[in-house]
Amino acid sequence: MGDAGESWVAKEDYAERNTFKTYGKKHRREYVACFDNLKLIVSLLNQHGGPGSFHVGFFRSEGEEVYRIGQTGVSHAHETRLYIHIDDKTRHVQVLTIGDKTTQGDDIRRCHRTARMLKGKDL
Amino acid sequence: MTTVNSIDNMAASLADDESIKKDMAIHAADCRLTHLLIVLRNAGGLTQRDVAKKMKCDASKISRIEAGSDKQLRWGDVVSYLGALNVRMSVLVDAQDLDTSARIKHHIFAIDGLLKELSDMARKCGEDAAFCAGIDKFYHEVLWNFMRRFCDCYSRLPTVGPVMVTPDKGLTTIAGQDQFSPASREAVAAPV
Repeated sequence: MGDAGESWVAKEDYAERNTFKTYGKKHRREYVACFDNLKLIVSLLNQHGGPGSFHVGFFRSEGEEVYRIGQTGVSHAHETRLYIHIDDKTRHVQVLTIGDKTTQGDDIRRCHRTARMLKGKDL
Repeated sequence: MTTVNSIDNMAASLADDESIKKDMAIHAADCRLTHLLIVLRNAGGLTQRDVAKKMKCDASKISRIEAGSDKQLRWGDVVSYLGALNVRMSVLVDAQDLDTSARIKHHIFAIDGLLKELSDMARKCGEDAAFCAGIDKFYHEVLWNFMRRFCDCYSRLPTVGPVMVTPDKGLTTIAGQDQFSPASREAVAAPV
């Protein structure tokens, strides 16, 4: 885990743009809530140094440095997950994709593939 | 550093919809207090379960509090939650149309009250030289931090430009020219 003090940067280089566009149209409130929670996660990363140093209910590891951020503050919400990759070394938070319960298996698989690719780049 | 604005921009860019930014601002305002609770809990190194134990309730209640919006929060839960974190709460009630200058004055009065509290404490502990020296040092830090921030904001005024504060010259421009007219000097020196 990195030291607190240096800044984490949220990036969209590997984001599945079409998925975001479609999801943002279909479930706007949940889309907004997930990105608002991303702001909180980046702020906590900056305060605590790494993803293992804080505990938030809507933020969960999916393995291989992939994490999911859920929506909060939305009544009768459509369960939504924003997937991100967190790299302790570069302090980059790559936004990957967004989806719901029905797509989560495929979403996680694709995110793991991207995470492995990012790790390969790192080596 | 990733700023709030850059994530707003990212959300808008990925959705290909600029109006998302407005919704982001509304949602952020709706969840300001719940997010603050999460930040404070983590700053205290506590898990949801720790807070639940202190509040003598189930962890699912803490999860529910943190997953809701500010409108869904119950006053009693907020008080108990902050009590569990050992955090003091103060409530500021003011008119929605209150201007920024009135808000600044309010905070200056509040800081004045706290500084008086500190000086009273120093007077009571007059025999403890180390304690008094610590408060003395802190007073200087307060002034220095305030002046730095004041200069930063003041220099952003379109009519002013870069300024700095030095112990001997006070507030001056970077080039050494005093930016204050006699009238504005009086305004700054006058009590609020």
